[in-house]
Amino acid sequence: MKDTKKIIAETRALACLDCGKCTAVCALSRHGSGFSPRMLVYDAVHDIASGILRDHRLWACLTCASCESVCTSGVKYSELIKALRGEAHDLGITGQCTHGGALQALMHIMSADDLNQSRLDWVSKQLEIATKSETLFFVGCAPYFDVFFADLEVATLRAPKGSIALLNHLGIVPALLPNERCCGHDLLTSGDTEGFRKLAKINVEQIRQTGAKRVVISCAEGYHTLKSEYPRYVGPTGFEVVHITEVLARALAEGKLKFTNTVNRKVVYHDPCRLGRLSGVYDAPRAILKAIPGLEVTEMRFNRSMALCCGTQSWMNCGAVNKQIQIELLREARATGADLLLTACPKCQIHLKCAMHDEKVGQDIQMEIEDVTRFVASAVWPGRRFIA
Amino acid sequence: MPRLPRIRETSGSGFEPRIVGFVCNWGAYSGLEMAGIKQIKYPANVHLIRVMCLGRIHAGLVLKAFEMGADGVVLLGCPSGECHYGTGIDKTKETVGQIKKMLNMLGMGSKRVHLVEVPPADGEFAARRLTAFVKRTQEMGPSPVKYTSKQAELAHEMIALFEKDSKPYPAPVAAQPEKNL
Repeated sequence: MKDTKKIIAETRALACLDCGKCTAVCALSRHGSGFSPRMLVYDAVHDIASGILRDHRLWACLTCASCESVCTSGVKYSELIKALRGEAHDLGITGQCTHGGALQALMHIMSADDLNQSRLDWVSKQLEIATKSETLFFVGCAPYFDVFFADLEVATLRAPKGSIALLNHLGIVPALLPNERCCGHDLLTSGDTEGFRKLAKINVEQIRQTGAKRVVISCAEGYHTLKSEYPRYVGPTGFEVVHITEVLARALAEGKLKFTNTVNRKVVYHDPCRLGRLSGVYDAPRAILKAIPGLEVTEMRFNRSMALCCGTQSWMNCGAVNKQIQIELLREARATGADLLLTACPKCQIHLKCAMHDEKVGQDIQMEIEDVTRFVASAVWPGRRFIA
Repeated sequence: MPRLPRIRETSGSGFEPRIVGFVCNWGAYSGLEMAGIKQIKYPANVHLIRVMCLGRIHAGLVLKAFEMGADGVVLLGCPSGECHYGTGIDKTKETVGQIKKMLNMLGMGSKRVHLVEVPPADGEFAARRLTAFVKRTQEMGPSPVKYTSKQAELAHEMIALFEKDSKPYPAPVAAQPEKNL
């Protein structure tokens, strides 16, 4: 257990000037949840270790890092929250798990050593994969999401399918892990560092065994976790982690990827927190979309580092305020006049689709949502079924 | 880890599966009580949990049982159309389908979860199906999953302390002969 004072020092919480910019941009504060990042930092600093760990506000934060992006003192807010949650978790305190804790149970089940999964049934014959390759494609939890959220009609597997098809198009045959585990992002964010380490160690060991030098990911959370959190928690990993949009943007710049089909649509791109604010990938997806002939790409009023969050994190927050945030995002997207919302995070798709299923909200938030990579794949091969 | 006293006989020699059974209060539980009255035996590997309706069981509860090391989960409910609340069992069927798909993907096998539709108060039927499920789980072997966290260890320590402190019921005192006054 780390000392709470040490956490406060490491995350620069003491540098807080009490200016309140963080609360001004916080989506939770704006929708009247009574949550305030400034107050939370203040309480953490002044009420060291006693009250804050037992405070329910600790679990309300979306760790979307909006506050961090405007903080003039450089307080590492999401780090502070994660570390304090870790301390609270050691005391036996946890947040409230949504979906009856099913997804948390799934993550814990996946940390079993001798698990023999059959998770690659969705790979069709048209998609070329290898057992050993320089490039490894990390699928993420999409196969499980598609079963668990079948009633929301989400098809999160479209993103990996589109990604592999595009990699093949660039002449890359990626390796896939038949026994890949959850990346552990949600356990880490909810303070369960012990469970996270178990998953991270298994994944890193498996990736090393394939001899891959580069890991390509289409999921925003997986990308952030493998790239930034794995080296911090399990030491140097020995492989490079890139997002699929980065691979495609590089291929586009080198002239390897060309779009010939015209797509007459107006789309809007939503920056997932883990890909945008937490990893700094803003330009790659936009560069690819702009290269598609005929496609009009608009921006929401709040975009890039100011992008709105999809309102939920780590399967821990689901309530009236979170739904309001989702509705706000969808209304912003509709206000651009676009008819398709593109994102790079499967969870954004799940949460926004869930908000659209609310009968009380009305028709003004109904919108088509699609993964950005899968959309690019459909622009290359219109009407092809293997990426559907 | 402290263990509950074994009152009934387990399935016999060899691997003893640990099975969690969720039982509907209205049909199956009263059926199993009838089985008790009739002294019909079933293996003690099944740890029954009574719920008001199987519609209450969601994927989280079943997966939690597997996370904690259960080798199988059995759900005993009413036949379709005879649910006390109307649609509970239909909801459960959907949930079980979802869980089976996930267990298959995890490589644990969809047969580790089993839904039994028990005719009203038919204890003999329920006991027979429970015995069959225990046997099937035995053939499948132990589940590869047993998640132990620091928190779970702490909980077990607390239970052990509690059991150490709590004293057994005092032995009945033999009646003393009345003293002649």
